[in-house]
Amino acid sequence: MNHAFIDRYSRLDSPLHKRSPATKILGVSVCLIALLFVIPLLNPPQIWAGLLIYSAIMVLITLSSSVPFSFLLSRSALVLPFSVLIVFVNYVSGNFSFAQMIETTVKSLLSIFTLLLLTSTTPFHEILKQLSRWGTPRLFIIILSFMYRYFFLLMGEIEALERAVHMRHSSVSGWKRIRVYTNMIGMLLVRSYERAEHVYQAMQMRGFTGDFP
Amino acid sequence: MHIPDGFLNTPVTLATAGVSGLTLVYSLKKVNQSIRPEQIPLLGLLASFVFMIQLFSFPIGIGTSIHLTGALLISILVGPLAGFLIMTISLFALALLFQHGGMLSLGANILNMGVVGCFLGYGIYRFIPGRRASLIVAGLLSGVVSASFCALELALSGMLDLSSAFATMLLIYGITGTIEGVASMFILEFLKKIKPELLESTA
Repeated sequence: MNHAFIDRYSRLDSPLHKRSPATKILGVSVCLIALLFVIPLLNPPQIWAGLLIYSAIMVLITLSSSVPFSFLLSRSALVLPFSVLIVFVNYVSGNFSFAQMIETTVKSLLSIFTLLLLTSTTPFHEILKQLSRWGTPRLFIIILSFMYRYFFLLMGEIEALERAVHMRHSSVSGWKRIRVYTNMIGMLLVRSYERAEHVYQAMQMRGFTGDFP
Repeated sequence: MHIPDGFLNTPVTLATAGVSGLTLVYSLKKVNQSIRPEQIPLLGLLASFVFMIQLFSFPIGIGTSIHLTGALLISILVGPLAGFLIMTISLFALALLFQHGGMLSLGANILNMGVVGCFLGYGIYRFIPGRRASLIVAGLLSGVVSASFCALELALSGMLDLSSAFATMLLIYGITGTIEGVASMFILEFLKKIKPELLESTA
Protein backbone atom coordinates (compact mmCIF):
# COMPACT_ATOMS: atom_id res chain seq x y z
CA MET A 1 0.00 0.00 0.00
CA ASN A 2 1.40 3.38 -0.90
CA HIS A 3 -0.40 5.78 1.32
CA ALA A 4 2.31 8.33 1.79
CA PHE A 5 1.16 10.55 -1.01
CA ILE A 6 -1.63 12.54 0.60
CA ASP A 7 0.25 14.83 2.93
CA ARG A 8 3.64 13.28 2.52
CA TYR A 9 5.75 16.34 3.28
CA SER A 10 3.61 17.49 6.19
CA ARG A 11 5.99 16.16 8.82
CA LEU A 12 9.17 17.87 7.69
CA ASP A 13 11.00 20.26 9.95
CA SER A 14 11.07 23.82 8.66
CA PRO A 15 10.10 27.30 9.86
CA LEU A 16 6.79 26.93 8.06
CA HIS A 17 6.08 23.49 9.50
CA LYS A 18 6.63 24.88 12.99
CA ARG A 19 4.03 27.63 12.60
CA SER A 20 0.74 26.99 14.31
CA PRO A 21 -1.99 25.42 12.13
CA ALA A 22 -4.22 28.41 12.94
CA THR A 23 -1.76 30.85 11.37
CA LYS A 24 -1.41 28.69 8.28
CA ILE A 25 -5.13 28.12 7.76
CA LEU A 26 -5.85 31.84 8.16
CA GLY A 27 -2.91 32.72 5.93
CA VAL A 28 -4.08 30.42 3.17
CA SER A 29 -7.63 31.77 3.43
CA VAL A 30 -6.40 35.36 3.14
CA CYS A 31 -4.21 34.43 0.16
CA LEU A 32 -7.06 32.64 -1.64
CA ILE A 33 -9.47 35.51 -1.06
CA ALA A 34 -6.87 37.98 -2.32
CA LEU A 35 -6.16 35.87 -5.38
CA LEU A 36 -9.72 35.01 -6.35
CA PHE A 37 -11.76 37.95 -5.11
CA VAL A 38 -9.46 40.97 -4.89
CA ILE A 39 -7.07 40.61 -7.84
CA PRO A 40 -9.92 40.24 -10.39
CA LEU A 41 -11.24 43.64 -9.27
CA LEU A 42 -8.13 45.37 -10.58
CA ASN A 43 -7.81 46.58 -14.17
CA PRO A 44 -5.82 44.49 -16.68
CA PRO A 45 -2.22 45.72 -16.27
CA GLN A 46 -2.61 45.67 -12.50
CA ILE A 47 -3.98 42.14 -12.62
CA TRP A 48 -0.74 40.91 -14.16
CA ALA A 49 1.30 42.78 -11.58
CA GLY A 50 -0.90 41.29 -8.87
CA LEU A 51 -0.46 37.75 -10.18
CA LEU A 52 3.29 38.30 -10.45
CA ILE A 53 3.57 39.56 -6.88
CA TYR A 54 1.38 36.70 -5.67
CA SER A 55 3.59 34.15 -7.43
CA ALA A 56 6.70 35.72 -5.94
CA ILE A 57 5.21 35.47 -2.46
CA MET A 58 4.36 31.81 -3.07
CA VAL A 59 7.92 31.10 -4.23
CA LEU A 60 9.34 32.73 -1.10
CA ILE A 61 7.00 30.76 1.16
CA THR A 62 7.86 27.54 -0.63
CA LEU A 63 11.58 28.23 -0.21
CA SER A 64 11.10 28.61 3.53
CA SER A 65 9.11 25.38 3.74
CA SER A 66 11.68 22.97 2.22
CA VAL A 67 8.87 21.20 0.36
CA PRO A 68 10.22 20.36 -3.13
CA PHE A 69 8.94 22.61 -5.92
CA SER A 70 8.65 19.64 -8.25
CA PHE A 71 6.08 18.02 -5.96
CA LEU A 72 3.98 21.17 -5.60
CA LEU A 73 4.08 21.92 -9.31
CA SER A 74 3.27 18.40 -10.45
CA ARG A 75 0.35 18.19 -8.03
CA SER A 76 -0.91 21.63 -9.08
CA ALA A 77 -0.81 20.51 -12.69
CA LEU A 78 -3.59 18.02 -11.90
CA VAL A 79 -6.05 20.89 -12.35
CA LEU A 80 -4.89 21.56 -15.91
CA PRO A 81 -7.16 19.14 -17.81
CA PHE A 82 -10.25 20.88 -16.41
CA SER A 83 -8.90 24.44 -16.65
CA VAL A 84 -7.58 24.00 -20.16
CA LEU A 85 -10.87 22.50 -21.32
CA ILE A 86 -13.01 25.35 -19.99
CA VAL A 87 -10.57 28.05 -21.02
CA PHE A 88 -10.18 26.60 -24.48
CA VAL A 89 -13.93 26.32 -25.05
CA ASN A 90 -14.23 29.99 -24.08
CA TYR A 91 -11.38 31.01 -26.34
CA VAL A 92 -12.78 29.15 -29.34
CA SER A 93 -16.28 30.54 -28.84
CA GLY A 94 -14.82 34.06 -28.68
CA ASN A 95 -15.87 34.64 -25.07
CA PHE A 96 -12.24 35.00 -23.91
CA SER A 97 -9.28 36.92 -25.19
CA PHE A 98 -5.89 35.24 -25.22
CA ALA A 99 -4.87 37.20 -22.11
CA GLN A 100 -7.99 36.09 -20.22
CA MET A 101 -7.23 32.50 -21.17
CA ILE A 102 -3.75 32.68 -19.64
CA GLU A 103 -4.97 34.66 -16.63
CA THR A 104 -7.65 32.12 -15.72
CA THR A 105 -5.31 29.17 -16.09
CA VAL A 106 -2.65 30.86 -13.95
CA LYS A 107 -5.21 31.72 -11.29
CA SER A 108 -6.47 28.15 -11.03
CA LEU A 109 -2.90 26.83 -10.83
CA LEU A 110 -1.93 29.35 -8.14
CA SER A 111 -4.96 28.62 -5.99
CA ILE A 112 -4.20 24.91 -5.96
CA PHE A 113 -0.55 25.66 -5.24
CA THR A 114 -1.57 27.76 -2.23
CA LEU A 115 -3.77 25.00 -0.84
CA LEU A 116 -1.00 22.46 -1.38
CA LEU A 117 1.34 24.59 0.71
CA LEU A 118 -1.08 24.19 3.62
CA THR A 119 -1.55 20.43 3.31
CA SER A 120 2.13 19.74 2.78
CA THR A 121 3.24 21.72 5.81
CA THR A 122 0.45 20.71 8.22
CA PRO A 123 -0.56 17.15 9.11
CA PHE A 124 -4.25 16.53 8.45
CA HIS A 125 -5.09 15.81 12.10
CA GLU A 126 -3.60 19.17 13.08
CA ILE A 127 -5.91 20.92 10.63
CA LEU A 128 -8.86 19.00 12.10
CA LYS A 129 -7.84 19.89 15.65
CA GLN A 130 -7.70 23.57 14.74
CA LEU A 131 -11.06 23.48 12.94
CA SER A 132 -12.52 21.82 16.01
CA ARG A 133 -11.06 24.53 18.26
CA TRP A 134 -12.79 27.10 16.10
CA GLY A 135 -16.13 25.47 16.81
CA THR A 136 -16.70 23.15 13.86
CA PRO A 137 -19.44 20.70 14.98
CA ARG A 138 -18.03 17.56 16.52
CA LEU A 139 -19.99 15.20 14.31
CA PHE A 140 -18.39 16.80 11.26
CA ILE A 141 -14.88 16.48 12.70
CA ILE A 142 -15.35 12.92 13.91
CA ILE A 143 -16.69 11.69 10.57
CA LEU A 144 -13.84 13.47 8.82
CA SER A 145 -11.23 11.84 11.02
CA PHE A 146 -12.81 8.40 10.61
CA MET A 147 -12.80 9.03 6.87
CA TYR A 148 -9.12 9.89 6.87
CA ARG A 149 -8.26 6.93 9.07
CA TYR A 150 -10.09 4.32 6.99
CA PHE A 151 -9.28 5.74 3.60
CA PHE A 152 -5.97 3.92 3.58
CA LEU A 153 -7.54 0.60 4.50
CA LEU A 154 -10.24 0.94 1.84
CA MET A 155 -7.50 1.81 -0.60
CA GLY A 156 -5.76 -1.46 0.19
CA GLU A 157 -9.02 -3.31 -0.22
CA ILE A 158 -9.83 -1.78 -3.56
CA GLU A 159 -6.35 -2.64 -4.79
CA ALA A 160 -6.84 -6.27 -3.76
CA LEU A 161 -10.29 -6.35 -5.37
CA GLU A 162 -8.90 -4.83 -8.56
CA ARG A 163 -6.21 -7.47 -8.72
CA ALA A 164 -8.76 -10.23 -8.21
CA VAL A 165 -11.03 -8.76 -10.89
CA HIS A 166 -8.13 -8.44 -13.25
CA MET A 167 -7.19 -12.08 -12.80
CA ARG A 168 -10.68 -13.45 -13.25
CA HIS A 169 -12.34 -11.07 -15.68
CA SER A 170 -9.59 -9.63 -17.81
CA SER A 171 -11.40 -10.71 -20.98
CA VAL A 172 -14.80 -9.28 -20.04
CA SER A 173 -15.71 -6.24 -22.07
CA GLY A 174 -18.44 -3.69 -22.71
CA TRP A 175 -21.59 -3.76 -20.64
CA LYS A 176 -20.52 -6.78 -18.64
CA ARG A 177 -17.60 -4.76 -17.42
CA ILE A 178 -19.96 -2.36 -15.65
CA ARG A 179 -21.42 -5.34 -13.80
CA VAL A 180 -17.95 -6.40 -12.73
CA TYR A 181 -17.12 -2.90 -11.52
CA THR A 182 -20.40 -2.42 -9.71
CA ASN A 183 -19.98 -5.75 -7.98
CA MET A 184 -16.57 -4.58 -6.92
CA ILE A 185 -18.01 -1.35 -5.50
CA GLY A 186 -20.77 -3.39 -3.84
CA MET A 187 -18.17 -5.64 -2.25
CA LEU A 188 -16.30 -2.59 -1.02
CA LEU A 189 -19.54 -1.36 0.58
CA VAL A 190 -20.18 -4.69 2.28
CA ARG A 191 -16.66 -4.67 3.68
CA SER A 192 -17.08 -1.06 4.83
CA TYR A 193 -20.23 -2.00 6.74
CA GLU A 194 -18.55 -5.01 8.31
CA ARG A 195 -15.52 -3.00 9.29
CA ALA A 196 -17.73 -0.28 10.78
CA GLU A 197 -19.38 -2.94 12.92
CA HIS A 198 -16.04 -4.21 14.19
CA VAL A 199 -14.78 -0.71 14.83
CA TYR A 200 -17.89 0.05 16.84
CA GLN A 201 -17.50 -3.12 18.91
CA ALA A 202 -13.91 -2.18 19.64
CA MET A 203 -15.00 1.33 20.61
CA GLN A 204 -17.69 -0.03 22.91
CA MET A 205 -15.21 -2.35 24.54
CA ARG A 206 -13.08 0.65 25.42
CA GLY A 207 -16.00 2.39 27.02
CA PHE A 208 -17.50 4.45 24.17
CA THR A 209 -21.03 5.43 25.10
CA GLY A 210 -21.96 7.66 22.23
CA ASP A 211 -20.37 10.89 23.41
CA PHE A 212 -17.29 12.08 21.66
CA PRO A 213 -15.06 14.56 23.44
CA MET B 1 -17.37 17.60 -12.45
CA HIS B 2 -15.52 19.24 -9.58
CA ILE B 3 -15.15 22.96 -10.32
CA PRO B 4 -11.68 24.14 -9.23
CA ASP B 5 -10.91 27.54 -7.75
CA GLY B 6 -10.48 30.43 -10.13
CA PHE B 7 -13.60 29.91 -12.22
CA LEU B 8 -16.38 31.39 -10.15
CA ASN B 9 -16.78 35.07 -9.34
CA THR B 10 -17.45 36.48 -5.90
CA PRO B 11 -21.29 36.65 -5.97
CA VAL B 12 -21.64 33.10 -7.30
CA THR B 13 -19.11 31.80 -4.76
CA LEU B 14 -20.89 33.48 -1.86
CA ALA B 15 -24.39 32.49 -2.99
CA THR B 16 -23.56 28.82 -3.51
CA ALA B 17 -21.58 28.70 -0.27
CA GLY B 18 -24.60 30.18 1.50
CA VAL B 19 -27.04 27.61 0.15
CA SER B 20 -24.69 24.69 0.83
CA GLY B 21 -23.74 26.04 4.24
CA LEU B 22 -27.35 26.35 5.37
CA THR B 23 -28.15 22.86 4.08
CA LEU B 24 -25.12 21.55 5.96
CA VAL B 25 -26.12 23.23 9.23
CA TYR B 26 -29.65 21.84 8.90
CA SER B 27 -28.57 18.29 8.13
CA LEU B 28 -25.91 18.31 10.86
CA LYS B 29 -28.60 19.32 13.36
CA LYS B 30 -31.05 16.68 12.16
CA VAL B 31 -28.48 13.89 11.96
CA ASN B 32 -27.13 14.80 15.40
CA GLN B 33 -30.61 14.33 16.84
CA SER B 34 -31.30 10.97 15.28
CA ILE B 35 -27.89 9.30 15.09
CA ARG B 36 -27.29 6.06 16.98
CA PRO B 37 -23.77 5.61 18.39
CA GLU B 38 -23.07 2.58 16.21
CA GLN B 39 -23.66 4.70 13.12
CA ILE B 40 -20.76 7.03 13.83
CA PRO B 41 -18.00 4.76 12.51
CA LEU B 42 -20.34 3.73 9.68
CA LEU B 43 -20.76 7.32 8.45
CA GLY B 44 -16.98 7.72 8.57
CA LEU B 45 -16.41 4.58 6.53
CA LEU B 46 -19.09 5.56 4.04
CA ALA B 47 -17.44 8.98 3.67
CA SER B 48 -14.21 7.14 2.95
CA PHE B 49 -16.10 4.98 0.47
CA VAL B 50 -17.53 7.98 -1.39
CA PHE B 51 -14.11 9.64 -1.39
CA MET B 52 -12.76 6.46 -2.94
CA ILE B 53 -15.29 5.99 -5.70
CA GLN B 54 -14.96 9.63 -6.73
CA LEU B 55 -11.24 9.13 -7.18
CA PHE B 56 -11.44 5.89 -9.14
CA SER B 57 -12.97 6.09 -12.54
CA PHE B 58 -14.00 3.07 -14.50
CA PRO B 59 -13.82 2.71 -18.28
CA ILE B 60 -17.11 2.82 -20.16
CA GLY B 61 -15.64 2.09 -23.58
CA ILE B 62 -14.83 4.45 -26.48
CA GLY B 63 -11.69 5.46 -24.63
CA THR B 64 -13.49 7.41 -21.90
CA SER B 65 -13.96 6.70 -18.27
CA ILE B 66 -16.28 8.18 -15.68
CA HIS B 67 -16.63 8.03 -11.95
CA LEU B 68 -19.77 7.90 -9.84
CA THR B 69 -20.58 10.60 -7.32
CA GLY B 70 -22.20 8.06 -5.02
CA ALA B 71 -24.80 10.59 -3.83
CA LEU B 72 -27.82 8.57 -4.92
CA LEU B 73 -26.52 5.28 -3.56
CA ILE B 74 -25.48 6.68 -0.21
CA SER B 75 -28.81 8.52 0.25
CA ILE B 76 -30.70 5.31 -0.36
CA LEU B 77 -28.53 3.48 2.18
CA VAL B 78 -28.51 5.98 5.05
CA GLY B 79 -31.13 8.56 4.09
CA PRO B 80 -30.67 11.90 2.30
CA LEU B 81 -29.64 13.97 5.33
CA ALA B 82 -26.84 11.68 6.47
CA GLY B 83 -26.05 11.11 2.78
CA PHE B 84 -25.63 14.84 2.26
CA LEU B 85 -23.36 15.05 5.29
CA ILE B 86 -21.21 12.26 3.88
CA MET B 87 -21.06 13.92 0.46
CA THR B 88 -20.06 17.27 1.99
CA ILE B 89 -17.31 15.70 4.06
CA SER B 90 -15.94 13.74 1.10
CA LEU B 91 -15.97 16.79 -1.16
CA PHE B 92 -14.21 18.83 1.51
CA ALA B 93 -11.51 16.20 1.92
CA LEU B 94 -11.17 15.74 -1.85
CA ALA B 95 -10.58 19.47 -2.24
CA LEU B 96 -8.15 19.69 0.67
CA LEU B 97 -6.15 16.51 0.12
CA PHE B 98 -6.46 15.69 -3.57
CA GLN B 99 -6.99 19.10 -5.15
CA HIS B 100 -10.16 17.68 -6.67
CA GLY B 101 -12.23 20.85 -6.84
CA GLY B 102 -11.28 24.06 -5.04
CA MET B 103 -11.79 25.38 -1.52
CA LEU B 104 -13.75 28.53 -2.36
CA SER B 105 -15.71 26.70 -5.05
CA LEU B 106 -16.59 24.01 -2.51
CA GLY B 107 -20.01 25.53 -1.96
CA ALA B 108 -20.81 25.24 -5.65
CA ASN B 109 -19.57 21.65 -5.82
CA ILE B 110 -21.56 20.67 -2.73
CA LEU B 111 -24.63 22.27 -4.29
CA ASN B 112 -24.17 20.53 -7.66
CA MET B 113 -23.35 17.09 -6.35
CA GLY B 114 -24.54 16.93 -2.75
CA VAL B 115 -27.76 18.92 -2.66
CA VAL B 116 -28.92 17.87 -6.11
CA GLY B 117 -27.71 14.27 -5.89
CA CYS B 118 -28.92 13.55 -2.36
CA PHE B 119 -32.16 15.51 -2.07
CA LEU B 120 -33.43 15.72 -5.63
CA GLY B 121 -32.11 12.29 -6.63
CA TYR B 122 -33.49 10.62 -3.53
CA GLY B 123 -36.79 12.49 -3.83
CA ILE B 124 -37.31 11.24 -7.38
CA TYR B 125 -36.27 7.75 -6.34
CA ARG B 126 -38.93 7.69 -3.65
CA PHE B 127 -41.56 9.36 -5.80
CA ILE B 128 -41.46 6.98 -8.76
CA PRO B 129 -42.63 3.44 -8.11
CA GLY B 130 -40.54 0.48 -9.24
CA ARG B 131 -36.95 0.25 -8.14
CA ARG B 132 -35.24 -0.09 -11.51
CA ALA B 133 -37.09 2.66 -13.35
CA SER B 134 -36.94 5.06 -10.42
CA LEU B 135 -33.19 4.67 -10.04
CA ILE B 136 -32.52 5.31 -13.71
CA VAL B 137 -34.83 8.34 -13.84
CA ALA B 138 -33.36 9.68 -10.58
CA GLY B 139 -29.84 9.29 -11.97
CA LEU B 140 -30.72 10.89 -15.28
CA LEU B 141 -32.61 13.86 -13.84
CA SER B 142 -30.14 14.62 -11.07
CA GLY B 143 -27.36 14.44 -13.67
CA VAL B 144 -29.15 16.93 -15.89
CA VAL B 145 -30.03 19.32 -13.05
CA SER B 146 -26.50 19.06 -11.71
CA ALA B 147 -25.15 19.98 -15.16
CA SER B 148 -27.54 22.92 -15.44
CA PHE B 149 -26.39 24.24 -12.06
CA CYS B 150 -22.76 23.79 -13.01
CA ALA B 151 -23.26 25.51 -16.38
CA LEU B 152 -25.26 28.31 -14.79
CA GLU B 153 -22.64 28.96 -12.11
CA LEU B 154 -19.90 29.13 -14.73
CA ALA B 155 -22.02 31.27 -17.05
CA LEU B 156 -22.92 33.75 -14.29
CA SER B 157 -19.21 34.06 -13.58
CA GLY B 158 -18.58 34.84 -17.24
CA MET B 159 -16.75 31.55 -17.74
CA LEU B 160 -19.08 29.87 -20.15
CA ASP B 161 -21.04 30.94 -23.15
CA LEU B 162 -24.35 29.25 -22.36
CA SER B 163 -25.60 29.16 -25.94
CA SER B 164 -22.61 27.17 -27.19
CA ALA B 165 -21.87 24.78 -24.38
CA PHE B 166 -25.15 24.17 -22.56
CA ALA B 167 -26.48 21.42 -24.83
CA THR B 168 -23.19 19.53 -24.79
CA MET B 169 -22.99 19.67 -21.01
CA LEU B 170 -26.58 18.50 -20.61
CA LEU B 171 -25.95 15.59 -22.94
CA ILE B 172 -22.76 14.50 -21.20
CA TYR B 173 -24.28 14.79 -17.74
CA GLY B 174 -27.46 13.10 -18.87
CA ILE B 175 -25.39 10.11 -19.94
CA THR B 176 -23.18 9.99 -16.85
CA GLY B 177 -26.25 10.50 -14.66
CA THR B 178 -28.00 7.57 -16.31
CA ILE B 179 -24.90 5.45 -15.82
CA GLU B 180 -24.89 6.51 -12.17
CA GLY B 181 -28.50 5.34 -11.89
CA VAL B 182 -27.80 2.03 -13.60
CA ALA B 183 -24.66 1.47 -11.52
CA SER B 184 -26.53 2.26 -8.29
CA MET B 185 -29.17 -0.25 -9.38
CA PHE B 186 -26.56 -2.97 -10.00
CA ILE B 187 -24.86 -2.22 -6.68
CA LEU B 188 -28.15 -2.38 -4.78
CA GLU B 189 -29.01 -5.68 -6.49
CA PHE B 190 -25.60 -7.00 -5.55
CA LEU B 191 -26.12 -5.95 -1.93
CA LYS B 192 -29.53 -7.58 -1.89
CA LYS B 193 -27.94 -10.86 -2.96
CA ILE B 194 -24.87 -10.74 -0.70
CA LYS B 195 -26.00 -8.90 2.43
CA PRO B 196 -29.73 -8.19 2.32
CA GLU B 197 -29.81 -6.98 5.93
CA LEU B 198 -28.04 -3.79 4.81
CA LEU B 199 -31.11 -2.78 2.85
CA GLU B 200 -33.62 -3.57 5.56
CA SER B 201 -33.51 -0.10 7.06
CA THR B 202 -34.22 1.41 3.65
CA ALA B 203 -37.53 1.34 1.89
